Amino acid sequence: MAGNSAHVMEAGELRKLGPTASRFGRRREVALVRAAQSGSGEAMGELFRRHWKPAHRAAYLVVHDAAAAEDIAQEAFISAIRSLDQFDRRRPFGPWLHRIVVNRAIDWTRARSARREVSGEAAGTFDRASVDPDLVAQADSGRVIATLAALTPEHRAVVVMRYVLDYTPGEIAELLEMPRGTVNSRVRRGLDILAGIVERES
Amino acid sequence: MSRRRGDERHARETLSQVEAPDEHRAEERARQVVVSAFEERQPERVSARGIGARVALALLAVAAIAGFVLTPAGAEVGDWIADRVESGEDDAQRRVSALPTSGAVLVESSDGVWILREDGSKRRLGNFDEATWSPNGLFVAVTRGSELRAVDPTGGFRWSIEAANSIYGLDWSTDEGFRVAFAANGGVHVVTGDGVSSNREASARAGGPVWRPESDPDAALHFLTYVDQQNRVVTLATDSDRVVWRTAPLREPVASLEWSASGERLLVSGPESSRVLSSDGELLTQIPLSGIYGPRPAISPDGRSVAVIDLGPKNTSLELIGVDDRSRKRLYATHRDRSAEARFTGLGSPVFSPDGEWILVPWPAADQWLFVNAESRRVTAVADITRQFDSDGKLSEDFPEVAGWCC
Repeated sequence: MAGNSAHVMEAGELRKLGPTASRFGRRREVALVRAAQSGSGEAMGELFRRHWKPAHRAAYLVVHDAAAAEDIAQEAFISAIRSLDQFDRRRPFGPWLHRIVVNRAIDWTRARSARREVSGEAAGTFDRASVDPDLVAQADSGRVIATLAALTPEHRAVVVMRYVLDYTPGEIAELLEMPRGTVNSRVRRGLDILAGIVERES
Repeated sequence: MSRRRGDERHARETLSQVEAPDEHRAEERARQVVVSAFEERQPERVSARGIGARVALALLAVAAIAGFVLTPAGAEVGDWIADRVESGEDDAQRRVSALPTSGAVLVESSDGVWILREDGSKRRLGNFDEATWSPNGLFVAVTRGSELRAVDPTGGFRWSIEAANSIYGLDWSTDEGFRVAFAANGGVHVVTGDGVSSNREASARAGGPVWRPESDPDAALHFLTYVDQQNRVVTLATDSDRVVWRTAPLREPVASLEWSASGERLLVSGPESSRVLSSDGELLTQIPLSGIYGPRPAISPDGRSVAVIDLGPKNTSLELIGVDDRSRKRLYATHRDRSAEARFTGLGSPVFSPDGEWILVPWPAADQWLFVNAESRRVTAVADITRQFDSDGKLSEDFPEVAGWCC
């Protein structure tokens, strides 16, 4: 035996769990969900470790607010825990969680935009000036965030699902319950916006 | 490359650089909240999968395959697969004709557990979740839900026990082979090698248990290493229930433990770094890892080097790091011009051959295995891995996982 190893994390490829978690096997995922349904804290902890980062990052890329992203991802996990007994183990855990996260992120951003609308700002768009300048300055990613701010939250959600969580347009259409043509056009718009970063760099 | 594909690659690269402020502390805060919420939940008792459920799963899989073929969404999946499998080694063999050195490889695929022998012959042991070799490769311990079963290499039944909860983290003791350790329901359990009795040894969290290999099997020390609830690495003498040594709580959660076959070094890996400890639990070196929760590193049988997968911005590579001198030797790197895909779907967790001369590196995106010589860097690639460990042609998205390369 080539050393004794405890295979707590897996290397199997699974796109539906997103880029970070995609190295984990689905069978192990099913076993973890089953164990969590039976009350295993370790299994829940492992599910958290596997899915927290992509969920949190996706939320942040949609809402552009660190505190809100943390709350959204956290609440999504708690919502998932509350519904754990009803969860169909044949389905992967990641898309279930991502759907909750992305929809909550869109709702949060819409609500924030609606509040601004009262004060005369455009609804449906993120105000660049409202991005916390300290946070943006601290993060290497500030320019990307500022660029994405030109998109509506719905557009950002599609871009994040396509290029961060790595879903196909068909899957995004299903998860966000929108026409596939809409998904494609939003992806295209997102690509154009992000391509602008390169043009400014060169 | 088309403009569209170039834009997509750029989008992935750009977005992968974004980090939410205070990510690590946010994760820890959320973890505490989520754990509390979970502890307050009243769990529903779930039975192990029955025959009916398995039939339903099979029907679902058939329907899913049909859907992949017939629907537009299926076409997307096909596109995705085509995108990924275009990378990899061009001159890969079409099947495993032979292992490059002695031993046999235990493989967990979506189709069950398989044994791949030195001459390239394969045998499917059955539909199980996890598997581990017995010390001399005479038996395999497998799990299916809450059942732990010992089978011989032909799949013949030897014994089984049923636990109250799902079993994971199997390890078969390396001395006289009379004990199997596993984790279930928040504890480390040990079952005697004849399946007669099972005792709860300690509470534990993810990361273990693993038996410390002993140079003198007759000593029958039965030292078991695991991670306790305080995220401390503990080595326990299971016969006397005495703690041999215990680390201080580690800052980052332990994700995997691996003893070198020599029993002299312990590799403790977390999401951001690996530590190598001596057999007495002393820290010998710490190795930063690239990428959070990237592929799991592996320690060589003699404990002198650690194989890590480096997730660079342009590609992924297999590196061999000296434990004693921190030397770094690049053994293999994926093609640089496939950077974005490589970062997301690059090399998987390496596994050393029993003699330490070769390293098996899964490459799920290319549907290949790479056998990399740790000395000469010679590479033998084998393609079509998913199909080779798939008895019914359903071709799951799961890439077969290497559960061990035995003696």
